[in-house]
Amino acid sequence: MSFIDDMKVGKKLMGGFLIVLLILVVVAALGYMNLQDAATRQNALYEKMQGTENLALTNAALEKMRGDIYRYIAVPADRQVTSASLAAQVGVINDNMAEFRTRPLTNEDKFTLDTFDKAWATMQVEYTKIEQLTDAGDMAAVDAGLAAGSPAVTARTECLGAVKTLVTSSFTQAKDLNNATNAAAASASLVMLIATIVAVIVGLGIALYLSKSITAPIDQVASNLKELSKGHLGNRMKMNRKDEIGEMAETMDKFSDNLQGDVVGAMKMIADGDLSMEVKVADAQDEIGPALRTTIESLRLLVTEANMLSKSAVAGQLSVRGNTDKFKGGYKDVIRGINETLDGVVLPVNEAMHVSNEYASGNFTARFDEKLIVQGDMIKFKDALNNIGIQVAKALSSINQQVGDLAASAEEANASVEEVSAGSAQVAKNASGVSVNAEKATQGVEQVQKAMEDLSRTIQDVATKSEAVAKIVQDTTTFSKEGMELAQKTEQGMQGITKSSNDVNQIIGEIKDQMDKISEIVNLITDLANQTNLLALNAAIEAARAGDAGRGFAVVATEVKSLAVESRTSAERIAEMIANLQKQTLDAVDAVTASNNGVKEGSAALQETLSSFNKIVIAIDKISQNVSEVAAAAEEQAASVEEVTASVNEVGGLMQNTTSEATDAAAASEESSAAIDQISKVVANLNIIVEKVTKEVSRFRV
Amino acid sequence: MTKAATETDVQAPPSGVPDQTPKKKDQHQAGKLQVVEFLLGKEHYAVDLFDVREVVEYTSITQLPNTPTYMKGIIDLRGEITTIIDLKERLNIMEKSDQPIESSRIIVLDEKITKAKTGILVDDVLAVSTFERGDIDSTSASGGREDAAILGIIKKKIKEKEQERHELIIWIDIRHLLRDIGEG
Repeated sequence: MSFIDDMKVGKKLMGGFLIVLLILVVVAALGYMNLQDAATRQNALYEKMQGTENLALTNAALEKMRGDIYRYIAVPADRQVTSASLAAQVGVINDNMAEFRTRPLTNEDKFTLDTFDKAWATMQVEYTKIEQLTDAGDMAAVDAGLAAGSPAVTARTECLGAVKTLVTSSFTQAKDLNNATNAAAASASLVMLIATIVAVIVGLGIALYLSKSITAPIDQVASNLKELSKGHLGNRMKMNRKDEIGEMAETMDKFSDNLQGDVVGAMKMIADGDLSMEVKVADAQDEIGPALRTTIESLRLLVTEANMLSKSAVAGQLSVRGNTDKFKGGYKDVIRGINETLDGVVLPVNEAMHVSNEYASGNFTARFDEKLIVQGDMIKFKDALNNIGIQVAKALSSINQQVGDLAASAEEANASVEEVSAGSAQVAKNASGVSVNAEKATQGVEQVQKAMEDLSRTIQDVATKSEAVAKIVQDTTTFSKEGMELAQKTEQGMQGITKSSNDVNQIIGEIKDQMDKISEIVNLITDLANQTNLLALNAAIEAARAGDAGRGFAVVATEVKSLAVESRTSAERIAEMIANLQKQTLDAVDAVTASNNGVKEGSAALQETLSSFNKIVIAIDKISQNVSEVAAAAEEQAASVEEVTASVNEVGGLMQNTTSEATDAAAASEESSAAIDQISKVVANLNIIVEKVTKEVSRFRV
Repeated sequence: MTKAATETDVQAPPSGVPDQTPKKKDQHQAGKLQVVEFLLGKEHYAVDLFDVREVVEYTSITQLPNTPTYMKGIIDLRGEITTIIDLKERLNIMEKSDQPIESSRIIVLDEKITKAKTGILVDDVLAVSTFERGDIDSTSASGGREDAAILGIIKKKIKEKEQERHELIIWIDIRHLLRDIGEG
């Protein structure tokens, strides 16, 4: 859009207005087109209306003809008038239908119109026929012609139906047209609305853009001016546009360049002390250029004068002074100040030079001239110079005295040093002898230590083994005691067994007695059974002999006999069992006796075991005691050995100390010998120096 | 020698036996025989019930001198002297009983068939039994010898372990034997 920026403001505004007008014209054209369209539709509607009117007139004429024909028949007086009316109606119908035909018609309408034309022709013929029949007075024919279903009536009905159909068609078309018109009006309204909105938006956009493109740069120019007024010269607008505002901005940028580059640059150089620049003068009206030039020239003159003065001072020409007549105002004051400074410094310096010269020639009695008036730091300078003279004189007197003393002391020192040297040589000799002996002793002590360590180890082994033996002995004692306890328990068990065996023996004896008794009883029972048997036999015999009378008794006898036999059998069996039992009892007795014997033997063996255990315990106790004694003795030995070892170690340590000390002493003696030699040399030197110093000091006057 | 003599003695008078036996049989009820069974050694023997007075236990026997060996001796049976005959000796049965002599029995015979009161020594008395005539075989028993003094063999039915078998009992003629001795 830069081409818009490059346009002049007037042209820009004109262009904007032209675009808005163009939009207005487009909107107006759209409205006009829509109005035209509406008018066309209106016209079509109007034509439809006219067509309908024609049809209505036709319909009315037909109805009138329907009535007039009956009047023609019924009122002979008016037949003339009625006939004319009929003819008029025919004319009306023909005119209207002809007019209707000129209207825009649909194919359907044209078809209906053909039907009407046919019917209408028939009707006209029939009506003329009926008029002629009426005029002839043939009423019967007239009646037949007008009866229902006659060609006249049929044609008339068809005519009326066609007209009605056409009217309906017209109305339908009018209605359609109306609907179309309404739709067109709605769409036209919408188009207009959209066009209007578009126009408004476009117009507003153009207006906003134009105003912005004019006002924004002007604002920029205004703010830049404000910056300039504050002395901010760094801003440039650089608008790069060719309208009036662009030109204005370019001019302002040029002005800023001038001000910043030439004037302010020059001022900055002056501030930095650079006075070599040449200032340009733009024209006769330029005030900035000449003012700058004058300032620079004054400053150059001042600098030249000051340089001349400082160079003279540096070269030692303290009598040179600046020319104050060449300057004005503040510059003049500067040169005069420099002159006065030179005056204040030069006089005291001359006096100090004089006094220093005196000091240099060895005369420390010289002093600063009291007549010369000095101020400030110069007073300190004067006092310091005087003090040098006083202090140096004092120091020299003191040095003289000290040097004398020093010479005497050096003599003495020399004598002492020689003595010390002899002593230290002796010490060194003795120390090396001690060292050799100490090393030999140390070796002996080490051998003793080694032997002691071996002894200690052996004793420890003995102690360890003794402890192990003691433990084993303890275990053995425990086991022996346990064995004894077990044996005692076993003995108790044995005694229990013996007792039980005795009990068993007794019980078995009792059982035997009982068995014997039972045997007796069984024998008795056997006897009884035998006798019963005998009795039963005798009874049976008696019964048999008694014959029939004894038959019952015989039965009883038989029973008794059988009982006796059973009793005897049982008794015999019992006897048998008892015999077995007795035999077993005897076996048991034998077994018990055998076990008793075994128990007795076991008991005796146990007794022996117990006594063996007792002996073992006693023996073990003795062993334990002996082992304990051995262990104790070993421990004592160990302790003694440790003590000895400790003592030997101590001796060894002492020996080593001695050796090292002896070595140290020898080294120290040698060192001290060397040092003493050094001291001797120093003392000799000192004497020479003292002599020299004395000679030198005597040159000073104090 | 003694045995042979005894046999001859026994055999000598066999006359009256056939006469007496039918008479005796008549005393029984028709077709029935009642006997006393006893034991000699291992064999069973029987005598007619009506020839028996009673059975007594063994008591100590007083031996008589100069008598045949089958004359065992005499005993005092409730105040009466009773002669005891050892039937085993008399019948030449050599088998000894395994029972002690004290457990043997004395069958005291009826006084009708003996002059003096007589008892026979047997090993044991078993029972008083009644048999049918059909159970007695009298034909083959004696083997044709009269002096054997055997009246017949009684077949006694015994039920042993669900099986029926016959035990043979030797029916002896005690009167005949005693007559030989001279007592009857």
